Parts: sequence; structure tokens; C-alpha cells
Amino acid sequence: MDNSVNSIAGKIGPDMVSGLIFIVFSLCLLFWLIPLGIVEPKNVRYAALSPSYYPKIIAFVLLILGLVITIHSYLKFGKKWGDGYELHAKGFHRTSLFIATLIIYAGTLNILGFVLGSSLALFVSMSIAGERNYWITLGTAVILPMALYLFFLKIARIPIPTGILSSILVGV
Amino acid sequence: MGAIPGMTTPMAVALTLPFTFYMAPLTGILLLLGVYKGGLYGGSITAILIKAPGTPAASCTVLDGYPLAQKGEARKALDIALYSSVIADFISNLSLILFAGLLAQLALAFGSPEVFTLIMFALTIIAGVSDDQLLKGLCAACLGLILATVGLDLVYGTNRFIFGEVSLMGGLNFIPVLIGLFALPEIISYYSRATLKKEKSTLAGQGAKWKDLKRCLKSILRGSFIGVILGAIPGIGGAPAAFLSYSEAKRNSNHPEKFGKGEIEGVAASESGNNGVAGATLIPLLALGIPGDIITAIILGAFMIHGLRPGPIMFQENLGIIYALFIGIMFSSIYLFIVGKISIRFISKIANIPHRILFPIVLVFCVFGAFAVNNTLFDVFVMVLMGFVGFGLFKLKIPPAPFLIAFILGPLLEDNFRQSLLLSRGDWSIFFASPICWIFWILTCVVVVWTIWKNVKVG
Repeated sequence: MDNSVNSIAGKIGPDMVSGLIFIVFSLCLLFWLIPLGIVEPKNVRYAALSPSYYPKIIAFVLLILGLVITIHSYLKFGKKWGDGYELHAKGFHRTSLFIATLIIYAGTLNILGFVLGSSLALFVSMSIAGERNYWITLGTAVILPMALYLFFLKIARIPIPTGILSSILVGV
Repeated sequence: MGAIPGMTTPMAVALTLPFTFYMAPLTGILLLLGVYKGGLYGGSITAILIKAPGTPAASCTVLDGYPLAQKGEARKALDIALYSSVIADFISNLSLILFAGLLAQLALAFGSPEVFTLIMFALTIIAGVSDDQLLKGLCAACLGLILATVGLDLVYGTNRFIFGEVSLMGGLNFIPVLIGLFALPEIISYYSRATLKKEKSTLAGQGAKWKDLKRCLKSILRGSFIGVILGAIPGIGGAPAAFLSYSEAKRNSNHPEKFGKGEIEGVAASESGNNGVAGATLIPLLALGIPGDIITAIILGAFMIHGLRPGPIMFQENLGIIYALFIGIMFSSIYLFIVGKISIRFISKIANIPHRILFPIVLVFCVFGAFAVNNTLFDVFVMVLMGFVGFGLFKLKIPPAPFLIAFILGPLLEDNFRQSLLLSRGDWSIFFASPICWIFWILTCVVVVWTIWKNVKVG
């Protein structure tokens, strides 16, 4: 196995995966999300005015389109099931790290605040991308979130959550 | 303000409003109009440079603006966006001055059924932006339409896909969805590349030449007129105008296959459509006293604060102010050109920042911007979630543009569909009752048949 890992390649192509996802999602909409998520009023005068009428039409169209894509993809590629796509080992590793950073960044914004959270996210994501000049990474990580915080607070008058730095930033 | 993702033009106009309290009425209103027009153009800057449209209308500019920046022609794209914006703005202002009465009359002829058929026609652009992935594009559009139904039902006020989350009651905001769908997948896919350590960003390149502008002139004029007509109709806004203008430019181009891959005419068409509405939105406001969107509603507020009441009577009682306003509006196009030209020189330098530094910075901008829309962390989570959805679409080779177009036009489509049926008491013939409806049905049918014929021919 070389550097590029064919995780899904040669088995199920993007068209087939897309078609199946659309079918599953439309079925979920028709039999689960719409009945559960849309509250139907008792006195609907015309069926077309019902809150679920329009979403049902869309879900039905999506189901038909999903079926067409899946059948078309199967007929087009036969038993090969599509051309697949490649994921590079290094790229996969880097992407996983970045996605983890992104989730942690968004998830801890309330606790860390936008300034500290953004500083850490900037430093980590620049390091993952391979930036080794620490003057740039540290400088950007410190200056940019602070500048954005001041812009939004002082000019746009939007109270940006400061989290654990609130005692320090309140005087700025 | 428009150039900062999340800082929408209505937000900028609202923030400026208190400053106008102590100004002369004319100065204050012109300041608000200046912010409005600057914000409309500003939305295109981040759309071109970092694939994060500052406004919903600028999302159409992303389609060709960002690929141009990727090719090292960011400066050219920014220049053409500015020239298109200024020309469209100028035409829109002229239309306001010369044809306000006529356009206001036309706008009044647009009821719910007419707007519904108009939006149906605008949705045909989905075929245009899907390229060879028409079926997937249609599916993406269905997903966008479904996402647009989240929130309280317009007619009955009941919950739709809220599942107990109070933040979802008002529906999903455009901006976090826009940023999540375009900017975040670009950043994530950058990290998934095999090598990126030595990678440098493409340079801003040279500005647009006269021959570039000449090539785009037809699309700019067409887009301006589309913008003027749609802008005069209350409640339509810049996004449908931009998409319709883009669609028409692609349909009339000798090289439609280049659209979506960095075609300068695409930038010109979307920006002219977007900015063509700026002056025209004032037509229902000044001629009838009806604000067509949030921005004109704020401007109406500014008029009233200064003791002025827009409408037919204002043309009799405050004619001096009306004329002065017209002169000021014409000058605003010139100022837009000057300020835009100066700022492009500096802003285009963003394209020279290496991606390994630029993308993390864009991420932080996006997070601040998403929060700023409603001052809630919920929008940040929506943005991140939409980023993953966008990355999934990218990996499955599903075009994201139809998703976005349907998400923006979806509420207009459904609201007018149901309002029409309410008016007609469930009678569907209302959608064929007026000549305007028939015109849009015929146009829609022509485009659909042409698209099917073209696909069969290619297949």
C-alpha cells in the first residue's frame, strides 16, 4: 500500500453514495422527520395549505431523484459500482486533526471565550498546516482575535463572549 | 462592513442610524444610502478572495470570483466586480429618477402568484450551476428547500423541524449557512491535500483592462436592468436578481462551459444584478411609501425621525429634498468607484498571503462573523455543521450552489405559493390568472425544455 489509501475507491462511487444518501434521507423525511417534526393544526381548510404539504412534495421529489441517480449509477458502472476517489494518508491525518480542532474550538467557545479560543485555534490550525515561523503563528494568534474582539465590541457594539478572560478583557 | 462575513448590510445600516439623528435630514439619509451601497459591493470582496460571501447576494459572485482568485486573477475579479457594481448602481439610480412612477406601477402588478412564478423561473438557474451533475444539483436544491422550511409555519404558526430548540423557531439564518457551505469546506479540503507545506497562495495578479470590461458590458447592462426590475418589487432583494442575471449571462454566453470555473462575465453578471437593485429598492419607498426590505425599512425610519413621510405627498411638499436626494444618490456611484478603487489596491494583497496562514485566519473571521449575526453561539454551531455538510457535498461531487440558491429562494417560493392559495381559497388557477404569470410560466417551460434537450444531446 503506497501513500495514497483507497478507502472507498473501486467499490462505491460518489454517484452511488449520493443516490443512496438521498433515498435514505427522503425516506427519513417522509416517515420520521415530517410526521414527528411538523405540528399539524386541526383546522386545515385546504390540503395545500397544510404546513407539511410543501415539505412532503420536496421529500417525494428527492426520493425519485435519489432512485434515478442510484439506478443510473449502477447501470453506468455495472459491477464496478463507480470510479471511487482517493484519500491520502497524510491529508487524512491532517484533516482529522483540523476537524477535531474545529469541533473543540466551537465547543469550548462559551468557556474559553472568543479571544482565547480563537488564539488557540489559530495557533493549532496554522501549526497543522505546517507554518513553522513561530513569530507569525504567535503574533497572528495574539493580535488577530484581540483586534476582532475590539472591532466587534467598540465599533459594531456586539458583546463578544470573553469566557475565562472576562476579568481581564472587561477593562479593555 | 459588507466585506466582513456576518456583518450584513442591514446590520451596517442599522448601526449607522443613530449617527444620523443629529445630522440634517438629507445628510443622514445619504449617509445611510452610502453605507447600503458600500455594503452591497463589500460583500463581493470576501466572496472573491476567501470564498466567504459577506451578503446572501454576493454568494452568486463566489461561483466565478473565487475560481478567478485561485487562478491568480483576484485583482481582475475585484475590478470587474467594482465596475459592474458602479455601472449597475448608476443605471439603478437613473431608473429611480426617470421611471419611478412607471416601475412603481409595475411593482404593484406583482402579487403573490406573480412573485411565485418569478421565483420558479429564477430557480431554473439550478440547471445552469449544476453543469454535468444536473440530477445531483436538483437533489441539492431539494435539500436547500427542506432546510429553508425550518422554523415557525407562516400560515398556522406551528413548529416545523424545531424539535424543542428555541433558536430554530426563527429559521436558519442565511449567513452561517452561506459561510459554512462555501468557506469551511474550502478550508477542510485544503487540509486534506497530500502536500501543502511549501504551497503558496496565488498572487492577486493584474487589474482588469478595458477589453475585459468591454467583454462584460452586455452582461452588466442586462444584469442592471434585471436588478432594477426586481429591486422595484417589494420583498425580492438582491440575491434573486444576482442569480437571475448570472443565469441569463450564462445562457447568452458563447462559452457557457467556462461559467463556474473562473469566467469574468459571471462576476460581472452577478454583481450588476446585485447592485442593480440598490437604487430601485427606493422606488416603492419614495413613490408609494412602502419599504421593500429591511434596509429600506430602516431608511424609512430615518425619514420619519426627521419628520418626513415618503410617498406621493412628499413629491409635493418636500420636492427640494427629493431633488437633493437624487443628486446625492448619483454622486454615491462616483464615491463608490473612488473608495472601491482605492481599497482594491490594498485588499487584493490578501490573495498573496500563503494559504497555511490565510485559511486559519479565515476560520476565525467566519466564527466571529457567524456569532455577530444574532449574537448567539447557536449560529456558530450551525456554521460548523454546514461546513461538514458542505465538505460532504464536495467529496460526493454534489454542487453546493443549487443547495444555496434553493435555500435563499425557498422561503420566497413557499410563502408566495401558500399566500396565493390562501387568496384563491385553494384554487390553483390563481397561478395562471394574470399575463405576468403566463410570461414566467412560458419562460420557465422554455428553459426546462432547453435544458432537457441539451442534456439528452450531450448524453
